[in-house]
Amino acid sequence: MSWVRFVLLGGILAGLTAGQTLLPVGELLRYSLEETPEQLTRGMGQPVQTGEASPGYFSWYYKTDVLDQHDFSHLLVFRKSDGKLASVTRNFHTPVNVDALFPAKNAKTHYWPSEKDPQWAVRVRLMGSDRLMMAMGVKKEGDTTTQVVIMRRSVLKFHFPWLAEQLEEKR
Amino acid sequence: MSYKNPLVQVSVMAQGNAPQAKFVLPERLRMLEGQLVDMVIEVRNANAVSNLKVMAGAMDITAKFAAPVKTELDCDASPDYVIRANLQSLETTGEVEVSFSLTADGANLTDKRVVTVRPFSMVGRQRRNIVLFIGDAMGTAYRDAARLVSRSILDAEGKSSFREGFFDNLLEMDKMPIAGMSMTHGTDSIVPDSTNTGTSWASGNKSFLNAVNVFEDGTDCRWRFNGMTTAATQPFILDNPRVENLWQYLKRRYNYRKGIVSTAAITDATPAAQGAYSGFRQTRLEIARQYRENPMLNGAPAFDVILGGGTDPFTAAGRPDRRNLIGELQGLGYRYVTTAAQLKTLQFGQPVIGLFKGSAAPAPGSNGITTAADVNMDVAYDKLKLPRPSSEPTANLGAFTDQPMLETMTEKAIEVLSSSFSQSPFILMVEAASIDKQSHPNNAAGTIWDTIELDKSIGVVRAWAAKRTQKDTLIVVTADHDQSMHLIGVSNTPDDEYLNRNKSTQVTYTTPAGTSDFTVYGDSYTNARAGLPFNNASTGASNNGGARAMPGSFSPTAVASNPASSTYSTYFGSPAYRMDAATGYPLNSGAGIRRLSVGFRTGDHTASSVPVTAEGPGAFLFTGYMDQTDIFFKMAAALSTDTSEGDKLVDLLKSTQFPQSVGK
Repeated sequence: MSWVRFVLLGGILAGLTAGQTLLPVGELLRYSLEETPEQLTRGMGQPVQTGEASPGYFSWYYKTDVLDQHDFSHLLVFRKSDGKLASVTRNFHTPVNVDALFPAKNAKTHYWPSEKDPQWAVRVRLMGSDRLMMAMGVKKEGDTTTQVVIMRRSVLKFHFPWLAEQLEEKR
Repeated sequence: MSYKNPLVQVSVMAQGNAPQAKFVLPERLRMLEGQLVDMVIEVRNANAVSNLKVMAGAMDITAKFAAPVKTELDCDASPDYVIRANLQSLETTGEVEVSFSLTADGANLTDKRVVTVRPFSMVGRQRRNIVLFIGDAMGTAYRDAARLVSRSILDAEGKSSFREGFFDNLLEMDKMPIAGMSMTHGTDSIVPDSTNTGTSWASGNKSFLNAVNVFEDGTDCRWRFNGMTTAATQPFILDNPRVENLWQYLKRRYNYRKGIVSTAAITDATPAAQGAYSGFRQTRLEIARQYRENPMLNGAPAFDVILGGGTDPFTAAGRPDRRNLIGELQGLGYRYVTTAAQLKTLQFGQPVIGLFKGSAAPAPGSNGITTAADVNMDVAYDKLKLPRPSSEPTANLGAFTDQPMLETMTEKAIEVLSSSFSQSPFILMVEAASIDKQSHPNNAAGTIWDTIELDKSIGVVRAWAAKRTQKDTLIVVTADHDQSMHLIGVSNTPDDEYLNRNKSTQVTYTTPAGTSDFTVYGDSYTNARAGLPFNNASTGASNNGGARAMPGSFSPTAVASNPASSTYSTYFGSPAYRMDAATGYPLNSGAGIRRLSVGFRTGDHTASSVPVTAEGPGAFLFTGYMDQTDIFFKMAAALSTDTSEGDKLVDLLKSTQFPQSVGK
């Protein structure tokens, strides 16, 4: 499936209207985190940079659209232990509305460091098969963001432990 | 196991579970006597840590370390500890072995570093000033371009100041007697950015991309490699071991006055290197806070002079904590100016913050660590109201129509810093930021005129220093890193093509990966943009080798009335510009103009070395090839050692008994 089809399908799945598919956020729904490196390079091309992330992870970096010269559009983190995608970070140069990706019935806002001391917010949508999606800095519908992350729930505790704890408490 | 894809040739090995411990300090740590550094020990795969002993040479410094703190390193499930001794220094000079031993889960672990500690004392020395000029991305081609444009000037009779291959008058930075080259590589990439290069000259040590005066550590995996740089990960961005920069070192130990001047937002990478400590350059709110209350100075402000763009992170509206940092500085006696007119009225030594461009409505960014926007000052070309070439964006100064030129900012910074009641010496960094920022989008005119603006600023300080009765000011000019611009010839494209935004053509090229469309404007002969397949059909001496020289040997499938293919461009000849007597800058339009032609291979930094030129006491230290970190130690040596013999040798070089460059 071509990249364009991925984007369009993502837009449709997100419930966007035809006009709104111009927003790049729909692409995010396509990541199952089960993609192989070969599948990813077929869809996205070669990363502009790769590197060791830590003893347990490595990262791929993409610049697929116009950003500040120091930012990447996509950062893909893989686990070394099994080669699986651990997370996909999507950066946007200008803030975008991602409400379509976070329907109210499936999304909840969490606060860092805690709900009692809310210094910063993240909108979270739990997805199937060990995935969740996070819109950084989004408190409520209508807010915009410059970053959306899809991450395995099983690695969340290592990267965003405070959120993992809050999600665990809600179970 | 390993993957077939060549991009992921990563061997996956089982992680050992045995306890490990290491110093989070670089192998080649170099310090000045008394320079502050966070000493951090990371212990991995351990449930309990005890029996810590840390030695610095023969001195037991164990008591300086706090109790081990349980943490999670490397984003894995193993139990880990961190042991910190913040803001430590070594007072013994020479090669000092710093070592520790500890017990982790019953295992005895050790690690050591041999730290090079250079002596620094100003007792009994002449009190000297330093002015460091940074042309952001100003590699050799950028200096050459500024010279060819600003020193190829036709007079009223049509005589050029560039004749027979010689210049009547070189750039100010060319006239400085000492030159060298600086290697700019970082710890994680041969191609650096403006933060780890700033760390090199400001603190004397190398670091990773985006790092401001800190070293990498085991919690970087939470933000550095997944890009999750937010308020929630900021504690891990700010926990990296810090190393003190020269600006704070000189203030703390010798009561120096200190300043930063930049045409960028003042919390941008290059100015931040003089006043902040952070793993990530975009923690703009924190960088602004550290300017107000610096961690190396017990919470005192980092600078006496702050001049640049980027008002937002200093405003209550732009900050989630609602602190009005401008008001706080005013409360401490700082003057606040926002226009060139206000700046020009400044006199005497009272500290000043001047922020000349910001957003119409500052607001916090969604990530919680930046403002929604952080606005650079407009570039020299636009402040001068010169007409932009057809492919470059038009000027948009908005409400900020009275922004000062860099030379005015520099002049005022020098006035303020040098006129304190205490007669304290000063250290100042002046940055021309948009040499780089205009080079990223391949805006040739924007880049070149900003380099000329920097040179005028250098001239201001050279003239000021020359008038002083005591030759007490070291001036150093260099770049943080290079970019990919190169000089390819000269064009006499007439203004009606060069400036005409309504005349362009689409060029479509077919590659094995698909088709690519390019818009070619009439200024393309002066600006061969990166990636643009430039098909010069009018002459065999094509400016960049023609289509055959382009990557992948693209084959054009459609070229229709390419405005660049039928003009008057030529590879040969010399540039010729007219000077605007009112501003002192060259004009970029008018009858008879022959413009410099440049090309860009990419829109990004390169790993090439950059020039360094120097003048004043201790300037001779800057000759030859050097690492960028050496600039820190050479500046320090110029202040703390007897340089008189070397200075006499430099003076001798100016004698007519030795050959002198034309125009110097």
